[in-house]
Amino acid sequence: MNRCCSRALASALTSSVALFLSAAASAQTPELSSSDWRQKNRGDAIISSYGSPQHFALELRVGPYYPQVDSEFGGGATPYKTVFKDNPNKAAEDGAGTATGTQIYFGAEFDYLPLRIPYLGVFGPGAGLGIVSASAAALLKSGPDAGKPSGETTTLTILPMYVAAVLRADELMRRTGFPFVPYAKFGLGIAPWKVSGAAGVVTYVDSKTNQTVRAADTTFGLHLALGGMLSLNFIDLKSAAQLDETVGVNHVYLYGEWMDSMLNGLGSRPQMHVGASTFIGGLAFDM
Amino acid sequence: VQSFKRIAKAGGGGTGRAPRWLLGAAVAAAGLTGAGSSRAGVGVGTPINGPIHGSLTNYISMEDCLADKSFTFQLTGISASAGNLEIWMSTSSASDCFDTNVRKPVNGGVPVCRQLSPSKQSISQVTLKVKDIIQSVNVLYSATAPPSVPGPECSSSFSPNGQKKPFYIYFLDSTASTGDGTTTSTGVTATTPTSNPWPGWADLAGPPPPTALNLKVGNGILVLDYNGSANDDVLQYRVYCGVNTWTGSASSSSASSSSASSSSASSSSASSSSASSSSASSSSASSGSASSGSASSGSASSGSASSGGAGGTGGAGGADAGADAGAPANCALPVGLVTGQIPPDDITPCETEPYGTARINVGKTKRLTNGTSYAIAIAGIDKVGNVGPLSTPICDAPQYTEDFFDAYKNAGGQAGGGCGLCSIGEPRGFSITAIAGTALTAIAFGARRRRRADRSRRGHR
Repeated sequence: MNRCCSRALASALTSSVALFLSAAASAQTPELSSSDWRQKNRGDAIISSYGSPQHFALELRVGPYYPQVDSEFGGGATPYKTVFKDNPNKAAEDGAGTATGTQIYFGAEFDYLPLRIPYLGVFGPGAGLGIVSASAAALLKSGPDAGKPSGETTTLTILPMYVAAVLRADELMRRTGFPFVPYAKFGLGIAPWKVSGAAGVVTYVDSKTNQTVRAADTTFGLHLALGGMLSLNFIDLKSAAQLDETVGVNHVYLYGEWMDSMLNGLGSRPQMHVGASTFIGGLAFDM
Repeated sequence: VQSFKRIAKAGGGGTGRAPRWLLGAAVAAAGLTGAGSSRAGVGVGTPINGPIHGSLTNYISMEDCLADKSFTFQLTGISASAGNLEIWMSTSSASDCFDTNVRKPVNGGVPVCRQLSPSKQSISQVTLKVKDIIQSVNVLYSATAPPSVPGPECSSSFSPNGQKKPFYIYFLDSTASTGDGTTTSTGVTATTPTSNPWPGWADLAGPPPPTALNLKVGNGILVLDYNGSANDDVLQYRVYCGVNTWTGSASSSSASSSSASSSSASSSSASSSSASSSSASSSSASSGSASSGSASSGSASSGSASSGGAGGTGGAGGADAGADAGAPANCALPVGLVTGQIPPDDITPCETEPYGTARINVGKTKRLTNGTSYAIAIAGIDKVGNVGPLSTPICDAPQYTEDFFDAYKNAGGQAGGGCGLCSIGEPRGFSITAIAGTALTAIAFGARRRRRADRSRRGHR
């Protein structure tokens, strides 16, 4: 991963850790929140079974990510596929360690879930941050070797972010013990991106207008995700209880979701379609 | 002498300057080392002045020797004014120069110890010139030199591959030292060292040049791959580049060297010469006189293993002074740069990269001109500032490339021209990642505060 990716990921992880600690500290108070709706739906049995109150969730996210850049051209042109997938020597470049080839999304999401909807689950806002980059060798433009890979690497870096309304339907698990929590998220996405080469962000000179365009911009869009979480507490109930007592983590989940980042500009000025429809997985914690 | 005072005054770190605590630590360490000595007639010398290279206080570099620097030692356990002080040097910790038998060469052979002549003595201090130390180092590491030969000044012939070599300095009372070892047929006596000599390192040659250079072209850049130097003390690499001055024949190559670098790229065919990436194998033809450095700098590189030895006297001779006989066909370095020679200080490298960099983008600092053939060579620098000889050059021409954004725009894409991730990766930029992280943290603290307020309200009821 290049330096910018590492820095962004480090920032995200740092933020996540800070959130984790602050949330964990708050979650240790064994009191019911006054914001709960009808507390009669939450019997003492339920409360005692699940220890400390739950108001937050944290997800560590990873998965494949293939930006839908080519969708902007309606199938006529495929610049992303040409450069990052069909590049004749991309495999060789991968071997040389200069091109990542595979686009892997890393991210984190934090949810604040203050509302408990009776017989359904918890609801609240969430925000996510991730990073993904694709690299390949730039192709020679002229000369006898035109079309062949050059020594220069071209990299597209995207920073998908979103704010969304999150619903985690955990009442089934709370009432029956069945360790599965379905959930849904819907909101707005924003994704800054840049294209860089050996000397930083590249530029493009329009031959018609002679204008120089910097290869960096921001794309807006919608964000939708549907998924399910498998609680891992059943593996060792005693350890799970200790985890709740010590740091306030009620459950640890293994989860998977279908994420559709519809980052296409929301119909505004032309924006690069850097969103993706993909499957994301990882670990989640509710606190 | 002044360097220690200056360093102590500045109290800062960095190349050529050591913090005060470092100086104190060095003195204390030397004192502790000496404190272990229990043999009568053996003194301990603690350096109080001398060359310092960053955190390295007991190293001698080529620059130290050329500048005629010296070490001043504070003596304990022995008096310099008594007239019995003798200073000896060995190159192995297993050879204790306190033993008179060890100090005696047998049959005029190579000595194990060599006596040094202090240039200044007082009651408790003695000064040794770096040049004298290096002379002795050269003699002691020589396989054939008899002890009477003074040895060359500021020569790194003792280390043909550029590796540093150890030496040990003993401060002895000549009337007290005895022979307590076992004399062998070669005159070398094996004893257990107990005299706690002052240990030093002679490092007068830079690392050998990287090998297996390979160029790939890019848009305004040339991407250089290479195999790094074998030395363990390489600090960084300097990449030198310039317009390929090859003019078409071997004899004219040297002529072009003296006619500045105005001769433009010879031909576009140079761009296909990237295959000539063989390791540095320059013959000794490259004349030492071509180097603008001092004579010693020529000799410093003379033994460089991978450069094939740029001897100071052999080869092309005066008529071809400046010719880069080690360069491959169709590729010639700019004026002043010669394969196998140490690059002059007045030529600024195109790129400087730390040791360990596997791939260097030449043109990153200043873009190269597409279509122009450039000659690229690389030299290593060690931790005491010795610059190694230049590698065999390699030539190629940058070319226009089509990156992803070109492909996107050429396909009709309209995006771009904004800020986007512009702040990411730029150290002083206001990172959008930081903004997002701050926002998330603010949300978390806001939520926590609300919970506290809720609890507080419930508590009042």
